[in-house]
Order: sequence, then C-alpha cells, then structure tokens
Amino acid sequence: MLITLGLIIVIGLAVVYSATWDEPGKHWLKQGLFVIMGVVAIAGIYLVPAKFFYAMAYPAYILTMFPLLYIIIFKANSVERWIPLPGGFNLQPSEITKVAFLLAMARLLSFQPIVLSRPKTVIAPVILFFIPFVLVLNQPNLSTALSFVAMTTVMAYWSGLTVREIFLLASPVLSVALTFHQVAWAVLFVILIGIILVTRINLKIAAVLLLTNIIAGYGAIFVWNKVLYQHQRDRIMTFMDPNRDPLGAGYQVLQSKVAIGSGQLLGKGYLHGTQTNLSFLPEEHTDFIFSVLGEQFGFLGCIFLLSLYMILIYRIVRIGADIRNRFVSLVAVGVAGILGFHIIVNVSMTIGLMPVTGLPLPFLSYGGSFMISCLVMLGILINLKAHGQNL
Amino acid sequence: MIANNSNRLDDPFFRGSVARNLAILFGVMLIGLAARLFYLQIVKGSYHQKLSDQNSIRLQIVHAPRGLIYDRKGVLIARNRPSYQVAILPTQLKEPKRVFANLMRFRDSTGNRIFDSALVEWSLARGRWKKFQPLVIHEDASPEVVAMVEEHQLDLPGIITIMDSRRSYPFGSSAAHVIGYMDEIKEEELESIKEDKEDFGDTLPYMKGDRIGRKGLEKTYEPYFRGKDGVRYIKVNAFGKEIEVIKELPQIKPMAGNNLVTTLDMELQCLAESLMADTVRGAVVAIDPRNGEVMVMASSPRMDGNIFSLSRERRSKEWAKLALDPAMPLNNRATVGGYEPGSTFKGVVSIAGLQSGKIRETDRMAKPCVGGYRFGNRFWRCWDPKGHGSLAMIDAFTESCDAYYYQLGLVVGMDGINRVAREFGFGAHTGIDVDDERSGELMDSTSYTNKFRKRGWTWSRGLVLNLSIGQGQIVTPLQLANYAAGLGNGKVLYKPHFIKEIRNREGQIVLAYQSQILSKLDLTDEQHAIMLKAMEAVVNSPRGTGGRARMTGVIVGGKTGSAENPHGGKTHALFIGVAPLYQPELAIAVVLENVGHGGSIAAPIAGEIFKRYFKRKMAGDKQQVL
Repeated sequence: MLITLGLIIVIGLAVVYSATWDEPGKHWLKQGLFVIMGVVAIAGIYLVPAKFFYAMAYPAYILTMFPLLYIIIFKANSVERWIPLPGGFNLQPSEITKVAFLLAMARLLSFQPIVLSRPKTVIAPVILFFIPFVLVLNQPNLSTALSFVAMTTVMAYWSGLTVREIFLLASPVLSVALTFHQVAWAVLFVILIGIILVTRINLKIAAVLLLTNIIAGYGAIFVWNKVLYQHQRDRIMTFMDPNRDPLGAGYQVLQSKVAIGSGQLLGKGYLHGTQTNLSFLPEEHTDFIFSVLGEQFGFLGCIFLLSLYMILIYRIVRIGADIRNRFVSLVAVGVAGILGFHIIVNVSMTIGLMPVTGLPLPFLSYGGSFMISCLVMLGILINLKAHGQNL
Repeated sequence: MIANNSNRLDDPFFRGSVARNLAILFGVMLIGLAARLFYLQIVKGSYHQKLSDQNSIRLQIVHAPRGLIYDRKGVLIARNRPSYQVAILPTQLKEPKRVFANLMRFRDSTGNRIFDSALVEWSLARGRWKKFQPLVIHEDASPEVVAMVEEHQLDLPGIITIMDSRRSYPFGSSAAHVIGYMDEIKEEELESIKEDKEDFGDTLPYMKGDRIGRKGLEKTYEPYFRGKDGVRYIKVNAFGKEIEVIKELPQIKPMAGNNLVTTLDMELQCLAESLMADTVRGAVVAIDPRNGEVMVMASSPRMDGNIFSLSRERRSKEWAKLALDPAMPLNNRATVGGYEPGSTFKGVVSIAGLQSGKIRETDRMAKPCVGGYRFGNRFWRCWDPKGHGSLAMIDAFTESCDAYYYQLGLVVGMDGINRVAREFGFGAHTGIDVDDERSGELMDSTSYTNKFRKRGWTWSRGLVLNLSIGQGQIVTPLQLANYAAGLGNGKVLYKPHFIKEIRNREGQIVLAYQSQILSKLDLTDEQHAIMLKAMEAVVNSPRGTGGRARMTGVIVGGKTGSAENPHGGKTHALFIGVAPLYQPELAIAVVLENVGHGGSIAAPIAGEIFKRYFKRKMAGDKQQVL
C-alpha cells in the first residue's frame, strides 16, 4: 500500500510541476512541502497510542464543528470556504471535519450497527451525519457535503445494511433533489413503496419514511422559494447545470477533453503538453490535474494511474476485511469510500461525464488542506492496523 | 470494548464478501472511466490532436452595443463607431523575437515607430501568463495600420486585429460636460466590482480593458447603457484569425444596452455655446419651469469627449492639454462653478421682505438712495453713484438699487433671507443626474464665524448689507436657473434633470422619468404677482437694467447681476430670466466671468435663446395648423 501511495504522490508532484513550472508561485515546491508535512504527520500519528483515536472520536467531532460555524457566521457573504492562517496558508475546516467525522461514525457504528427495525439505531447515525452535512452544505460546498454522503453510505453498507435499506434511508435526500420535477418525484415514491412492500418492514417505520420524504420534498420547495436569495439559487443552478455559465465550466471541460484526447496512446511526453502548458486550463494544477496527466502521458499513463488507485483502494478495503476490530475496519472502509468518491467524481468531471464540482483528485491535485487530510487519514489507518487489533 | 449484541462485522466471511462487493463496484466504475478515456484518446485521439495542435478553439466575448443618447427632439448625440485594435494573441505567438523585430519595422509617414516598443515588450512578457487573452498593443488603429498588419500577417504570426467599437460624439464639444465620457476601467475598480458581483445578475462582470462611463450622463446611466455582453466559442486558424463560430458549444447572445432620451435641446444648446466665445469663462443653463427638464447646459471653455476614444498615446496628450489649461475646461461650470449671485439675489431678499410682514410693496426705506447708504461709520455705495432717491420695492428691483436692499436686509435679517433662499434651492445640491455638483453656501453668523475662524474674522451687522445684495453667498449657475424657474412657477421648485426616458433597442419605453418636486414655495399669489411685475419691469421698463433681453411678442422677465470679483478686474456678469413671464416655459441663467455688467453682457445671451425658442415654437405651431 505504501509503495502504491508513494508512486501516486511522486506522479502528482511531477504533474503539478509540469502544469505550473512556467508560472509564478512555485506551486510544486509548496506541494512538496505539503507532502512532507503530511508524511511527518503520519510519522507523528504512528507514535500515538491507537486507543487515543477511539477515545477522541466524539470530542474531535464536536470540536471541528466550531471552525465550520465560524465560516458560516463570518464568511456568510463570501464564497470563501477557508480560514486564513499565518504564513499565507489557508485552512479548509471541512477537511478536518471529514477526519473527525470518519472516526466518530466508525465508533458509533462499531458498537451499534444500523438496524432499520430499531429506530434508535437509525436516529443516532443520522444526527451524527446531518450536522456536518448541513454545515458544509451551507458554506456552500455541495461537493464536499456529498463526500460525507459517500463516506456514510459505504460505512453503512459495511456495517450490514443492504442496498435496498440504504436506498430507503437516502430517499429523503433524493426527495429534496427530485421534488422540482413532479414525475421524477412520483417515480421515486413508487419505487419506495415497492421496496417497502418487498422488504416488509414495520408499518410504523414505513409511515415515518414516507412522511419524511413528503416533508423533505415540500420543505425543499418552500426553502427554495421563500428562504434562498436569488444569488444563492443561481449558485445552485450553476452547480447542477454548468452550461449556464459557459465562460467557466463548459469551457474548462471542453479544453480538458481536448487536452486528454490529444494525449492519444502514449501522450505528448513530460513537460510537452501544449494545451495545459499554454494555460488553456485555468484550474490545471488543482481540479483539472488529471487532464495534464492525460495529455502528457496518454491513455497508458491514465490507465497506469487508475490501476494504482485501484490497488490503493483495494489494499485499504482489505485492511478492513482482515482486521478483527470493528472500529478499525469501519475506519478503513470509510477512508476507501471517501478516496474512491473523489477519484471517480474528479476523473469523470475532467472527461465530461459529470458536472464540474471542484472536487480534487487525491494525492495529485494541488492543495494543502486536502493533501494533508488524505495523508492523515491514511496515517491513522496505518496506526490502527498496526496497533488496533486489540483495541 | 464490549460488544453489546451479535454483530455481523465480527464475521470474517461477511466482511470478506462485503469487501469484495465494494472492490468490484469501484473496479467497475474505473473500467467505465477507462472506456471513456479509450474513446477520447484512442478513438477520437487524432481529432483532439488536431484541435490541440491549432489551439484552435477560443472563447470570444462579444461586446454588447452600448446604448445611444438622444436629445429631446430625437437628435443623436452619442453613438458608437467601429474601432480597430492591434493585439498579441499569445497562444499563436511562436517566435516573439522575430515578431518584435518585425513590429518595430513599421513606421508612419513621419518616420516614427507605429508600435510602442516598451508596450510591446511588456505585453510579450505578460503574454507568458495570460495566454488565452489578446493583449492590445495598438489602440484605435487607423485603417492604414490595420491594412499594414493584415498584409504582413505571414511575418507577424500571433498578431491579430480586433474590431471593437468606441464612443463617438457627433456634436464634438457641444454639451460634452453633460454627456461626459468613457474611459478604460481601472484595476482597483475591477476588484471592487468583483466583490459585489452578486448585483450584476446575468450580466457579465467587467473585464480588464472594458470601458466604463466616467463622467456625466455616461456615468450616471452606465447600468442602462451597458447591455449584456455575449460569449461564444470560435475556431481560429494558425494566425489567430477567426474562421467560424462553433455552434455546438453554448453561447450567450449579446444584448444591446438601452438608449437614453434626454431633455437637452441641441439647437438651443449649440446656440448658447456659440454665444459664448471660447475665451470667455462661464455657463448658461436653461430649464423648463413646469417640470425641471434641463434644456441647455453650456459651460465655457469646452472640451471634447471624443478624445477619450482615441489611442492611449493621443489621449494622454490631449488630456494633459486640458488638465493643465488654467481656464479649466474639464470643469462643468454650470454645476461646479461657484459664483456670488450679486443682484440676482435681490428677488430672494424682496420675497423675504414681503413675507416678514414688516414691509409692504409700496413702502419706502427710511433713507433715500444718495448713491449709497451710511451705516455705522462707513458709506456703503450703490452701483449708481448718482443715486436713485426714494423708491418702493418694484422700482428698487427694476433699477437694482443697492441702498434700498441694504436697508431691507437690515429690516428682515439673515434668518428670513436664508429661509427663502433655501426654499429656492440655494445652499444645497439640486440632485441633478450628472456627477460633481457643488452645493454652494449661504451665510449667517454661525457659518461665517466657522468659515473664517482661522483668519480671525467675526460676524458683524455690516455683513448683512453685503449679503443683501448677493455678495458673500456662493451659488451655481444651475441653482440660479432653477431659482429663475421657481420665480416663474411661483408654486414649486422641481428637481432639475436630463433624463426624459429610457428606451430599449426596439424603441419601447423602459423607464419614463417622473418630475420630482424639490421644494414647495411658500409664496402667496399676491407676493408672486409682485415679483412677476418687478421682473417684467427689469426687462421691459425703460429704467430697467435688463432691457437687452427684451423680445417682441413674448413677455420676458428677469433680473441682472454684476457680482464684484474678489480678485479684482471686471465684474462677473449675471442674468436670470423667464418667459413667457405669466405662463413660463423657459427659465435661463447666464453667468460670465470677468466681462462686466449683467445687463449689457449676460442679458443679450438669454435674449437670443428666448428669441430662438419662441420663433421656433411659433413656426412649429403654424406648421401644425397647416
């Protein structure tokens, strides 16, 4: 796992360098610094007793809510999602929250798996999930909020929920999205009722579920029309449909596709990308780093990187499967979930399969908070794997 | 840790199968991505290769045509003209050194380099970071330069010409102070606009190189004029020349800005300007007393807004000329020129006298005019050393007897005078829809002491005498014209304005301006009648000072003024007039610096404008009858 990780990081540094070597700012040096900080953090984490993470899961979860609140309260009128730190760095609190949330959810699910027929076991994880989800959503940072969904879903699946049950639990969120399209919403209800009938769950629970869906749907319409301001609505619409803003996202995706496509089988060679080095891509070193790789290393390069990711994710899931401790295994699977989500969404976006969301590619995209938080998550996992057998 | 119930997670087989499922899910998604990559890179690889080789797709911003400005009769006073820019397109620039050398070879007929070497060098350096943005190296290029660049395209790969549009004012310097001008947006403005970008709605934010209304109507109505810029993608050839618009990609069509119909009357405006020689400093303002529409606002000396559409080099040369001119042609004297009102202020003092209840129209002052009036240990002179004898109000107003008004001022007091002055709009901004307006100032014991505290001057009753004949206050020509309009109207004072309506490109009215009342005049019909009679006599009585504003067929009323100039030399000449006096349609104020008496210099200018206005009106009436 470590070798794979090392390879990915080296590729990342090389590509960030290639994307930005002719620009001011020395991004690759900074990125290198972030990697070193992350590795130091991993080493530091390794020395911490494994019990600490289990014990700190809830307190850390509560503590990390404060920076999120800070952003909501003091940056209410800005699109900034970070807190400036001395030394010219910016801290994205949602990244710390992610780590704390992972531990808290793992701890909760490790002694009380979700069982649909026992509402108590449902309510606690839902509350645990909802607080950071809503806070991050409010920043507004829809994509990071969705990564909480991905993490939770995978962990819930791991702890024993079936796909159908997950669908039932997630249905209120779907209601919020589909309520603006009457037919789609109706179809959702048909499916819901179908699943309820097939799984034969408790009638009371079924009623609560349906009611929640109706409230979520109408509530969303009410909030949209009465609570949100026009610019907030615009922002959400642009996220849903980037073509609304052809100056930005549509253009980026187009150029990204041209860049990747022109890499052909073997690529144009390192530092020889014409699209990316000509700054056709405004976000080339962050969200669109994959296009730089695609252009310079071609199809084979892309497949190589995706294979590395596959190995990495597989190794992480394996840790979860092999270890006897429930907490550790849940942490492992949560890490796999969040990394996998980022990889799929980011790559899909650069090749025009998904809307542009601003979700970075793990270990490749330029960005300190994200790089370090990914490494810290892996560091915790490494520690737990080594010392967490008998937690 | 104690398991409180049986948990499937403790079952290694369960964990194994779930792990397998998750890995398979992820693997399938990755295979999907790989398939897409295969399509993009292998199947469509050579197509993308071609697109990328040419760097042939470019985002182009299509500027919306700016709204036009018309006068009240539909005469076009601000339009757009085509303008060519020569620019570097960094993506196409393969050999900067050769291109630079070739550019430097271009010389005009006098042998000077056409392209500024420093600017080109700077742009080439900047092009390294801003690669997909054309960088202008020669603004507003002449057709010859454009032809030369196009002809030598093979030697200048990466140099393109861009067609753009610039503002053009067909009347040149006429009404230039009112129309204002445009200028390139500044870096710090871009920043501040970015911060409140939310306000723009669907409009594209301003970009570097955009032009923005900087002064006058261009500034006030910028949001209406601007329209919405469009965006589209174009395919360009290896030299950066546009080949076609890519239709498959999203595009936004530009939306033309709205047109402004103003209340200006260009015929009268040009007449007023022609009556003021360019060596004279001063201003003429004409307002419709029925609604506050400003029909003429001329300030002399003038400037030409067209220079701001020229290339940077020529612009800065012209600008320096204007900015350094001691006559300050950039100033709109009608709104920022501060003058003492002189005898034109006697209308205010008269009304204050009538309203005080201490003086009736027929009353005479305690002492007759003997060429002046002794107050304290000083003899305060009247303008006419021969003296006017003992006069009642209308005669004193007609002959502008200072001795009468010294005594009237002492009777009424400054508070009463200033109350009436404020009602007529003095001492405050009128709120007209062009920027830069001076409020002027009225004097009383407190404001005087505050203003001159540093010099150690204190208020004395003697100052009331000066202020009673309009020496010591500061007013603008615009305020004077509005004052004349108020005297004619007698009931209300309107807020002066240039906007009549905003129309969209199809000619539909988007916004029709409603006149706003600035203040209600506290004037009885009787008092109003006295003032009209007095103003009539100024122009039409043989003893009146404003006889040169007289015209046949229409009764003109007014008041002259000759304000003493603190800097010595000749007096400022002032005249305010309104006609037809008993059914007012046009109120005029004329202020000319250092030229002499209001009656001899300022009144004739107002007279000419009245004559043209009513002659045209009668001709128009006749036409309508036919």
